[in-house]
Amino acid sequence: MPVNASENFARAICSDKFDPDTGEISPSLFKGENTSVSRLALTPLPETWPLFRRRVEKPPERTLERIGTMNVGRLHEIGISYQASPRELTVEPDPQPNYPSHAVIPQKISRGLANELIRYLEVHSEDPPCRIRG
Amino acid sequence: MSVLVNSPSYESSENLVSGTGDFSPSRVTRFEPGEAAKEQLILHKLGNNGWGRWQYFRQCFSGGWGEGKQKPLSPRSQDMFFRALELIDFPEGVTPSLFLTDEGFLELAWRDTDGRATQIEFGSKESEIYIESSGEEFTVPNERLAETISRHFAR
Repeated sequence: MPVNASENFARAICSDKFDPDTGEISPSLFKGENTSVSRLALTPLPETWPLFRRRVEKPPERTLERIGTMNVGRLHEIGISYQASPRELTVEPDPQPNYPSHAVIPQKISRGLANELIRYLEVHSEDPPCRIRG
Repeated sequence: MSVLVNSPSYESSENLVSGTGDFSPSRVTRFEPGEAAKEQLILHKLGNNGWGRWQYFRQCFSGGWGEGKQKPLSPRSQDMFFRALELIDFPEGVTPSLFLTDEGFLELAWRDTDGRATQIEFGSKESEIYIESSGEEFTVPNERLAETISRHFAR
């Protein structure tokens, strides 16, 4: 059963997908299918930082730079209102050992739609959150 | 003059790559013919930031990385990236960004003077192009990439 529209999810933004000099985020953050996210209702944002760090900083030179968050209902709205190719986007629970908040966006996301999602992503650094574009 | 034939300092350079120490072979940068020309090209077109990110990807992402599904930096992707870079004329004052996709492909992104995105992902067989200003999103076989780049991004 899909995650409720009222929930928010988090996506790790690592150094391969984020250019600190330009502030740009790569659309490949969302492009493709089965995009891994974490449910903030189960693991709140402050605890998501160390959780993501343990899982994604491999090798250690790959660093977690930012965390992007979005409301599940907003994700759905963006998907169905994407004019070039509307798509029903959902978040499906996919709990894993020691990672109960793991979930996926199973649908295949095009580059254009990924750009649209990044535009509305709320981007957090370890300082107060900021919205970079849009 | 005496020569210490068995001195470890003069053993085969193979040891430097196969590794008797605790460093990873994937972190070793192998300099190949044309390396200096590539470095000059990327410095000229992408500046220090682009050069630094390219070095970062080739040194730290040429082995396993991420949560497991990510692939090492693709040599074919790099080849296409450099061929394209020779042809692209970036708008004045633009600072392009370089990324690495989970498939191990290099991805070049920049914004036009109106802030609209242009992106090229260099795949092993075909490349993906996105031009926000014209709403275009398409893939092109790598053998036709040069022609496409010349048509869209060369002055």
